[in-house]
This record gives sequence, C-alpha cells and structure tokens, in this order.
Amino acid sequence: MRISKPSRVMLYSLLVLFACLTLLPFWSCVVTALKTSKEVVLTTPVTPPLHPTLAPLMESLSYLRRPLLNSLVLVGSGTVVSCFFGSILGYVFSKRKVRGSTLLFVLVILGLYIPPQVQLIPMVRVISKIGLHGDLGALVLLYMVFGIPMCTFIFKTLYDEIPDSFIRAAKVDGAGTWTIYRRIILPLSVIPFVVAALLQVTIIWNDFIWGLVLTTGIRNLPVTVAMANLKGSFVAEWNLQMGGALWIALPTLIIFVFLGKYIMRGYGAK
Amino acid sequence: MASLTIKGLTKRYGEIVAVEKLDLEVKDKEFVVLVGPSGCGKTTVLNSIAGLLEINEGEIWFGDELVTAPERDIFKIPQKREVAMVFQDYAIYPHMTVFGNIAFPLEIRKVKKREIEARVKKAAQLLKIDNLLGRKPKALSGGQRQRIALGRAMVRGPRIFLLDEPFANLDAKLRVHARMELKKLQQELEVTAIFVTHDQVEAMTMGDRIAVMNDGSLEQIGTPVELYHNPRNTFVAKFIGSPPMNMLDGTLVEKNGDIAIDLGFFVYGLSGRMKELTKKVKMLKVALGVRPEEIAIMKEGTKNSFEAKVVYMELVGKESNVHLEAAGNPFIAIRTSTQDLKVGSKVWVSFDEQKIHIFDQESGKVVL
Repeated sequence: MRISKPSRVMLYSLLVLFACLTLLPFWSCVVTALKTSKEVVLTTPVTPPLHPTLAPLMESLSYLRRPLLNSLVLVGSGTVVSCFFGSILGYVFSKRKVRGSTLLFVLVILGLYIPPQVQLIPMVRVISKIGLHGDLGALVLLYMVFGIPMCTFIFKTLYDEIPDSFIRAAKVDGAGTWTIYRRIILPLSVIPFVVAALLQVTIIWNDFIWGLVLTTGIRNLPVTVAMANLKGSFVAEWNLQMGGALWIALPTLIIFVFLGKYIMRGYGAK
Repeated sequence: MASLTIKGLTKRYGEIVAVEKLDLEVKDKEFVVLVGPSGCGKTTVLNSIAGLLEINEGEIWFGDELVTAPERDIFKIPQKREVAMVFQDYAIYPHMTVFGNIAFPLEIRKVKKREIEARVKKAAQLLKIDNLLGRKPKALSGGQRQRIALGRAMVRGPRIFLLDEPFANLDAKLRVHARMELKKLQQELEVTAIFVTHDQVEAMTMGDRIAVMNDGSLEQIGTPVELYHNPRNTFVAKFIGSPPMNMLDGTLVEKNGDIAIDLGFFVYGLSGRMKELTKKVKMLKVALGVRPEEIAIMKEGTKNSFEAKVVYMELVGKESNVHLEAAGNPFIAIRTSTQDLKVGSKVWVSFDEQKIHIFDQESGKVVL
C-alpha cells in the first residue's frame, strides 16, 4: 500500500514525537548520572551536564558490586534450573500425553496467574520455616521454582510444533521415551531454550519485590533492591541513583535490542 | 519376515467405533494394500499393527507370536515389535544428516559402527541416494525424502513393513515412478508389506491383494482382478475403477414370461445365465452395475438397447470418457474414438450382458 506524501510526513512526525516521549526518562537518567551533586540541584533533569563527570557512575558501581554479583547468581541458577525442568515437563505435556495430563498442565499454568502480592505472606512464612529468611539462598530457591510454569508453557507450545510423526517414527525405530527426548527433542530445542532463557533472565534481573521481602543485608540483596537503597536517608542523591539505574538497565537493554524478537516469541508463545 | 494375522480387531474412541471386528490375514512376503476413503479406519489398523495404538478387542499375530491381545493383557510395545513404518510426512529428522536419519534405528540398537556404515551405504545404493548421505534433509525434494524414509525403514531388516500413504505428498509423475520402484524393492527384499492409501489406482497397481475398507470394517479382500471383475457389493464396485462403475437403480419384473430389470426409462431384458440366476432371487429392488468400458455406443438401435444423449466428452489420452444421460440418469462410457459422436446428439446404448452386475439395492450386496 502506498501512503501519500502529507500523511507520510504526519506519520513520521507522530512516530518521532512518541519516540522522544518514550526516551525522555532514559535521557534524563543518562544526563543526571553524568552530573555532580551540585549541578543536579541547580539544573532541570533534562538539561545536559555542563561539567560531565563519571564519578557518580563509578561510585554507584562500587556500591553495587556485590548486589550485581548476587543478581548474576540468581539469574544463572534460576534460568538453568527452570529451563531444564521446563523442557522436560514441556516434552511430557506435549508428546507423552497420559490420562489427566491436560488437567495437570492447566494446574501448572495456573501458577503463572497467581499474583506475587498474594503469595508474599505465605512465602515469607515458608522461607522462615526452612530457615532461609534474609539469605540469598531463599531467592535462589524461589526463582528456580517460580520459573518452571512459564518455562513449561513456552516449551510445551513450541514442542507442539514438532510433528507427532517424529515421535511415532522414533518409537517404531526402537527409541524409548528418554532416548527420544535426548536424540530428537533436545536437538530441536534451540529456539525454545533461547526464548525461555531470555525471558527468565529479564524477569529475574528486573524483579524487585521478592528481594525486598526475603533478603536483608548488602551481602544478600539483589541489585534492584540495593539500588533503591542508593537513594540516601536524608538527601536524595539523584546522580548516584541514576548511575546505578544505568548499570542495572544495561544487560536487559542489550538483550532487548539484540534479541528482542525471541522475547516476543516467548510472550506470544509462537 | 513374517506373516500377519488380525482377528476381530475393534478400536473405539469413546463412543465412536473406528474399526469394528476386522479380520485380516497377510501371508509372508505378500504386499497387501489397505484402501478406503479417508476416515474409514485404515490408518487405525496400521497404527494398531505397529503398536502405536492400543486396541479394545481382538488379536494381532506376527507369525506365531501374539503381539496384541487386550483380553489376555498382552501388548508388545512398538519399540520391541521389529516393524518398520513409513509415514505420510516421512518424519525425517531435520537436525540429522541423511546418513544420521537412516542410521538412527541401528544406532539405537547399538549396532557396531562399522556395520552401521556398511548397511546404510547398501540401503542408500539400492535407493540411489548414496550421493546425498552427507546432506541435511532441509534442502531435499519430496522424492528424495521419501527415499530416506524408505531407507530408514529397510536398513534394519524388519519383520513387517508398514507404509502410511507414503506417496501422498509426491507429484503425479513422481508417484507413478515411486509406485513401480517400491513394488520392485519389496520383491527384492522379500518383505511382508502393508500399504495404506485412499487412492484406488495405487492399490490396483501395487497390491498382491487389496483390502477395501469402509466405515471401520472390511468390505472385501482379494486380488486386483477379483475386486475389479467380481465386486462383492456396490461400495467396492464404485470405489475400484476410474471412472467408477455405473449404477442404475431398477426393479426386477417379468416381461412376456422373461425376467427383466425395469430401469424406469427402459426395460432391460435378461437372458441365459442371468435369467436362471435371477429366478432364485426374492428381492425386487436392484441396482444394475456396468463398467464404463462395457458400454457400447451405437448409431442405431438394436435389441435390448436404449436411447441416450451425449452430454459431455473428455479426452483422457488414448481414450475418452463419454458422459451420457438417459431420462435424467447420468452414466459414463469409455471409447477409443469419438469422431462420430457430438455433444448433444442422440445415440443408442447397450450393455454387454456377460459383464453386468446386479446388486441388492437395500443391502448393496451383489446378487450375481
């Protein structure tokens, strides 16, 4: 379809306008992170810095070093474990259907729809009971388990696209359930693994609420919670906070820019 | 290699009966084609033989080994049945090379590497795909994929070959070639083969015997010649042959002391053998069946002929299908030359009495 010239101009100006609006917070974040504390107070949040400095960025990084490491541990363990179980469960739900497996699948998926706010109090009590409250281990365990329903869902929908005749042919050829998984399903799972892993990485990295209620002390905090603490008790150190925010946004930003299409597949489960 | 015996196979999906009390016997090294319209249960039978489906009643024997008998709690899993199956979509694994695909069943059986290589090479040479062994299947044509599937099936020397519409995704020209090749291969390898198709031409050209299925039960089993010349009922008569057998509904009447069939627009007098046989028959409503090639089209009327109009003519290579109509009843005749015929013209038609079939209209069963 051809678009006439005036409407094309309209279209582009609208798009540019929306792009500017969306990028405004990010812009403000970048310029503020490059200002000294004095300049932050004296200028508006959108004016570029007169005397740019990297000091806030460095300072926030040194404060966030341990939390960044914590978050890396959480992302690594949570992604690997829930992808592994998600893949196996997805295979069972998609290709090894037994009586009642549809009901079981629905129950697993229901786990996706229970809002965390509802689970806060019970989860704090459970974690305290097993003696992990305040510890990073609580979060490690939680993300491993909580990621499984979503990963199962992604793997199951993507495995549904693998023809059933592959499975039946392998059975007739003598392959058992585990061999079929290892020799046929797993090698065809590159896309679901990428999709599920990227979603898990961004979800765990960006999560705030569980870290806030389940961990204490800088040694145990994930990076998002630690950044909130950068605010300062009496004076708001905006440049430090924005510096921290930039460090935190960086990995997800890279993922969205370069691998965004896989994340869209995950949300669309296609 | 083995024979196959199916006794009283019944498979239900909830309330729906997919196959009912099916008996089938396939001899060792025989090529049997299961043919029927889609949804008639032929693939269900094939899957039951492979063990991919559990049946509700009946027994399946490979030679003298009982592999399925739900009443006796016997069910051998597909992995242990030593059958090979070729699927309609070939089920070629996209992440393996052609070699990997063909070698797969041997690798699972932990056959020694050197032997795998030798056997895969031999199968590939037989199928003329030995130059493709290192390729990934993605870029291969339908005909090549079909050969890979055949190679994977034959490489381990199965007891029974099961083929589920393996030519459905090939173009018409390739299909004719593939038919001949598969038949030749089956004879060379001397395997028992069961081939499922909905295409009666495939059935006629390939089967040592053909089993015609409809609505979950077996209508008739026999050699292609038997099915063509002696169909047991109207379903088989109409299913086998292209164009199909013409069916004209009528009633048995007496005309001047002779037996005849009143077709409404014409009373077809029976004589000789037909007359003797129809005398024993009690029913009145019958269907007169006649194959297109047994219809004679003439310029002038003779005894026992009637007038019809030429509606349409289609040239099919050497022959033409002549669509005729008599008092609103359409039927088709085959003729080698049509130069003397014109669309819309009147002609006279008669049937070769030795070649007609009479069926009971109600049950569809053949009377003679």
